[in-house]
Amino acid sequence: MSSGPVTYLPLDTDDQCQRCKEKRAVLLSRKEKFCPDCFVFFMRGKQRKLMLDERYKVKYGQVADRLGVQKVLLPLSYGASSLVLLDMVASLLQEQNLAHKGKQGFELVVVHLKEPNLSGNASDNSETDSDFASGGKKFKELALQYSPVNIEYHEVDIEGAVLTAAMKITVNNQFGVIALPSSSDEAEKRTIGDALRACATRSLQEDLLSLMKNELIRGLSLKTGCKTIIYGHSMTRLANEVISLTVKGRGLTIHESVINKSIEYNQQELQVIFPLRDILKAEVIAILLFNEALQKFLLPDAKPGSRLAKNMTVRDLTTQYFDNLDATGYASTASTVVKTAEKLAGPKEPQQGTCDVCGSSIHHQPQKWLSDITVSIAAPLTTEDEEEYARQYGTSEGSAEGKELRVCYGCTVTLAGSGKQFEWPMRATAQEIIDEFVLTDDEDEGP
Amino acid sequence: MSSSADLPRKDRKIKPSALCELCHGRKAVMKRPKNLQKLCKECFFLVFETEIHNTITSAKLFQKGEKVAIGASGGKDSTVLASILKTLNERYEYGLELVLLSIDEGIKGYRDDSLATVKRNQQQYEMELEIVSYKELYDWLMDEIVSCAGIRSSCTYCGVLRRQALDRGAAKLGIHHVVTGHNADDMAETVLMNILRGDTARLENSCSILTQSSGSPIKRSKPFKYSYQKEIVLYAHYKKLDYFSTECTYAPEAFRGTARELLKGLGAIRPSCIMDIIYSGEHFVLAQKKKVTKSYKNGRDKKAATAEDEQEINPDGSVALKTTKRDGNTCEKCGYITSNKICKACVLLAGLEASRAKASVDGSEEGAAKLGKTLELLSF
Ligand SMILES: [Zn+2]
Ligand SMILES: [Zn+2]
Ligand SMILES: [Zn+2]
Ligand SMILES: [Zn+2]
Ligand SMILES: [Zn+2]
Repeated sequence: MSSGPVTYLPLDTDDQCQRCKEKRAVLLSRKEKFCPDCFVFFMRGKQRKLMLDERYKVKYGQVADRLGVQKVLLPLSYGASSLVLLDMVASLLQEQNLAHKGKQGFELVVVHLKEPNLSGNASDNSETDSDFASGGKKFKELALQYSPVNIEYHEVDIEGAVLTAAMKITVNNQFGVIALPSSSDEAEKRTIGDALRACATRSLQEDLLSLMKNELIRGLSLKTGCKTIIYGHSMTRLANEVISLTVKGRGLTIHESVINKSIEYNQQELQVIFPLRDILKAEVIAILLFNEALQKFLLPDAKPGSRLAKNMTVRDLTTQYFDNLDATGYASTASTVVKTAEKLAGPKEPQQGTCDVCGSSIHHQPQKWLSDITVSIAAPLTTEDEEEYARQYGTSEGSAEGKELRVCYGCTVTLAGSGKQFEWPMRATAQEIIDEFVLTDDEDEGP
Repeated sequence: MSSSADLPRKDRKIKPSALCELCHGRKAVMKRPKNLQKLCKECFFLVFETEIHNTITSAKLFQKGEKVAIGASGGKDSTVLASILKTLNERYEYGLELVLLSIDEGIKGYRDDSLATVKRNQQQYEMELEIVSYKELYDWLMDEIVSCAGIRSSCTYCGVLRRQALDRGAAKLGIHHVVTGHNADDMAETVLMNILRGDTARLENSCSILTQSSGSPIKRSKPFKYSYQKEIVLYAHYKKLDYFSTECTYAPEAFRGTARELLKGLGAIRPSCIMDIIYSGEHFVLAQKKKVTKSYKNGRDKKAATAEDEQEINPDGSVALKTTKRDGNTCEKCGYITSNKICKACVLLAGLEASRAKASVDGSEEGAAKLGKTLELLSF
């Protein structure tokens, strides 16, 4: 069916599965022919290998006392990868639960961030997203498959979240990021969705939204007592992320964005794991294809192909790029990119602080670098006419005065491109959203 | 604003929104590719030149009294480079002695026209000009190389041979510093390629502005490192610079072609992306390795090792040869500085000689095809 990393065999094939040597093979992956069961089993092995730490195993005695009840947060977008990860992890818990008389290696917490509709039309995406995530009804149905495992579920609506700590952010000619508090009554009515829609390009919207989501997920893990976050990113998606981060001037954060590691967040240690990091996107899709019960929960994503070229985002383009590489015989590129990223470390220079917008650590002031190579000086005016124009112009615009923020390179560039007087909340807003929307007691359903 | 009486009398009044965003006094004529700022010609010239000046001074690229050779191909990058260096040298009193250094590869039509351009540049910029030919250096014309090795591998040649030719030409003139017209787009492409290929050896230093091969007395630098290709074109256009428009006619290798396309698409939705990629590239740090790498084992210092690595990236971006490294010494065949027993140029030329001999014996295409194959193996 495709020349990519997974080839589906014809339905009338006589080829046998090379693993069980019993059932008929349905696909060719990594030079081996698999039946559906053996393929899924093989892929699950890859996920389990990445969650071998004892904190995710069923614990008894001293180990149990030392580690306590572990809670693991899984952000679920209802896309193929996060659904497959949920299925793998919940099945693992189900096995543990049944084999150890109700004991599990960890408690699973699932969070769904309802994405704002960025097409400009506020009522546009309501049927797609809210159908799938309407106060957790869909999720309850999904979770039934893994009974008796109990899964805690939360939804956060990014669209409707009110911009409380909103700042009008202006980037001056020297790339200083200046925050001007917006008048309070004006800000009260504005939501994150509004702010994002005011951003100049879809590409910049995507960047800001992903920062917001990242911050929300970290905050939610603290709020729900989770010391581990597991992301459904496939190897292809991670490779994509490495290129996207590089392209957005956020290459410095690659070492903490795509690599399994423990990070410090608000003085707490957080494990971040990508259990599908050894599985290609084409393989994730194959797994989903063999699981009809799971498929019906898939939220169809908007096809970037139907978009105008200028409305594409960085991720649309890099996704397309890796899809094309798969089709043209360069499928190993994703694995090369991820392996390369694994060799990267954080900056050598001491940390100077954290970014007021995205929270990443700052080791260099990007302002000098930027203003050296993007100069804003005017050539002298030579005629009276020119000087008159400049005088007239001068009266029509005042210069911005406000508090200068500490902002990383990636955020500075994104804000500079977002337009004059762009309004964006400070980092603290994520915490407020979490406090407003997430109830800590398990039985609550959210607002 | 209404058409008030105190405005200068003109045929047509310029609307405030049509004014240059920097001086507010002249009409904007262009959108700057780097940040889409609307600028007048004068302000564009000034910011473009100042940015290059900033690049030069913050990297401390030049010393007073230094003699510097500009690698001149007659193409737009090197023509703009010559023009700008002349301007900056006078404006900021760098005290440089600038010389045009041109390579005659022996490509009929292409080279004849471009050399004519360089000769006009010599008059226009009042600089000394030195032309070094492949024929006198290597006893081969590029056209002969292409007919012998095939079009596909010719970029390998034009990279390795041209680089060495520039170094040798400079040495001949007693010059220790060659500047080339490599621009920000080339830099960004190299950063992406290094990640996509997993070339960790080059990842950390792929954005160095100044490089020097180990043992070589010749420094090379790239004052256009942060200059966008499109802005170089605009600068040449508005300054009405005299350049020859054809670039290397040999297409890039297929995989690099995909990266170039990606970069083009990204540039359309995020104009800053070229700078952003360079920023990322400049700050890549490799985690401490567990085992000692090859280049450290020889006891060479890190700087020399990475400079040598850099040498393998060809000017036009093709894949270069990878060979085992030795301490910096001279080529057994030609005496050129190399870290190998025989320098890359001599390796390539020996291959060519062999295939020329074979081709003349059996009079077939076989020799050329076989050499093409060998080269592909060498390149990866
Ligand atoms: Zn089987
Ligand atoms: Zn930031
Ligand atoms: Zn101007
Ligand atoms: Zn070439
Ligand atoms: Zn030699």
